Amino acid sequence: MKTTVRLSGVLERNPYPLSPKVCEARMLPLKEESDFIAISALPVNTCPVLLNHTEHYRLLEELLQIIEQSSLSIDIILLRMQMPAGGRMPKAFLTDSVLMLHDVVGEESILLREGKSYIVIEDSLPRHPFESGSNQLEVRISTAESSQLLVEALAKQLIECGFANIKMYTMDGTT
Amino acid sequence: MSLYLRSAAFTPIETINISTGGGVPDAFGKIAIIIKSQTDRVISSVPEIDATKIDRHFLCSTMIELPFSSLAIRERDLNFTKPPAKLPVTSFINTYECASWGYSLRHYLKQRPDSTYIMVSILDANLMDLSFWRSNENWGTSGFGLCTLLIEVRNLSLVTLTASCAITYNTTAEFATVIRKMVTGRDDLTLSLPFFPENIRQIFTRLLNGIEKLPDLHDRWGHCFGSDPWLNIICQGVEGRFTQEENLLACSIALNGYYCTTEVLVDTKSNFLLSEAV
Repeated sequence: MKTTVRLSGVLERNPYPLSPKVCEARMLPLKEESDFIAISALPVNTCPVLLNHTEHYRLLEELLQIIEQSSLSIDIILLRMQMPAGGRMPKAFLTDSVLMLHDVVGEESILLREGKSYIVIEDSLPRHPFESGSNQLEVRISTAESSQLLVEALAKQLIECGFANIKMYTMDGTT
Repeated sequence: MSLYLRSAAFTPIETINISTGGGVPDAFGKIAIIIKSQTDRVISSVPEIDATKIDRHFLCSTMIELPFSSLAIRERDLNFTKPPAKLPVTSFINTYECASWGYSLRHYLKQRPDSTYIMVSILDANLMDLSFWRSNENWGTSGFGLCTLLIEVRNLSLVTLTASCAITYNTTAEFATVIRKMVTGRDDLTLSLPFFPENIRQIFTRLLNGIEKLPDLHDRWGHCFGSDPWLNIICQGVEGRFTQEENLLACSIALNGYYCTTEVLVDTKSNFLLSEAV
């Protein structure tokens, strides 16, 4: 029987404070008066931006590496990804074991219904003031195998990267 | 070949944006009606297919992103509900830009190897009427619309599908080279390539010289993002080109280097629907 384990946390600082920042993301050029009016009409996110695109991808790559090093047999990993991406994303995101979506909920419900073993990394980390988000990240692991070691390794990584309020619980509500 | 194009439709979207009245939610409400209408038309065009066997509907996009990322609209807004489409959208994928349709197919075929039918829609509409999306140096003039495909999987082991990414940043030339390698020795294949203006198109003209291709339709439609190779097939179909079985290689390349290709069979029983612009 499959169990879904949830691991969540809130980013409270830049995950790589001692690293030089590469600010190379390309953003949409605004030229005409109407461009500025259209962009100004979008909702504004007041949540602080704590990382840039490159750091966001580095964070996710590190989590994927930890998952890859675990012995769990996983059918698919879903990544929640906001667009625009600012540039080309890492190769690790483009393999056939990963699917990136803007909203993972629909796809996750299908995987659950079909009895797949899967992992979801759903974050709401804004990388630009255009983007919505509350700096939260949740990993959901649905498998018949024990995921305890993986959860511990992921939690350790998140803490090292500046996440706080780390919570782990199973679908039956035990913490 | 093992993917068979049962039905394909395209509706140009030229007038729906915030400049023509209403905000982004209002504009997208009109789009949702078009998605529902086109989904129903495509399914209805093949009454011999048991609609309950079409179990997934991916909606892909290249340039509808900021309205979602800023939460001006949400994924639930994709589906018109009164009444719902015969097969509502189950997943929205824009992460792979113009190659999102190929990555969606790859995911589906891997996760559901027993399935027979899949529906993929490709939507690009300049909801915010941003000048960058109207025209720029990367692809010239843009074209907008909704493309919907109903694909039959005839033999999964024979599916020829590539979803990958360029190694270099000279992406179009690298993409053309990859295609050249794919089709070498395959005289039965006709290429359906993305639409580009002449200055970019010449990369294909030169590197894919001597290989059968559908005509570039940039002058007529502009660059319609991931829809291009399918819109070209639809145009040829509507004009009656496919009087016998034809194997096509649909190809898309994204600005950030993601690309996809797939072989697809069309024949006289394939349905092609080209609507008036809305």
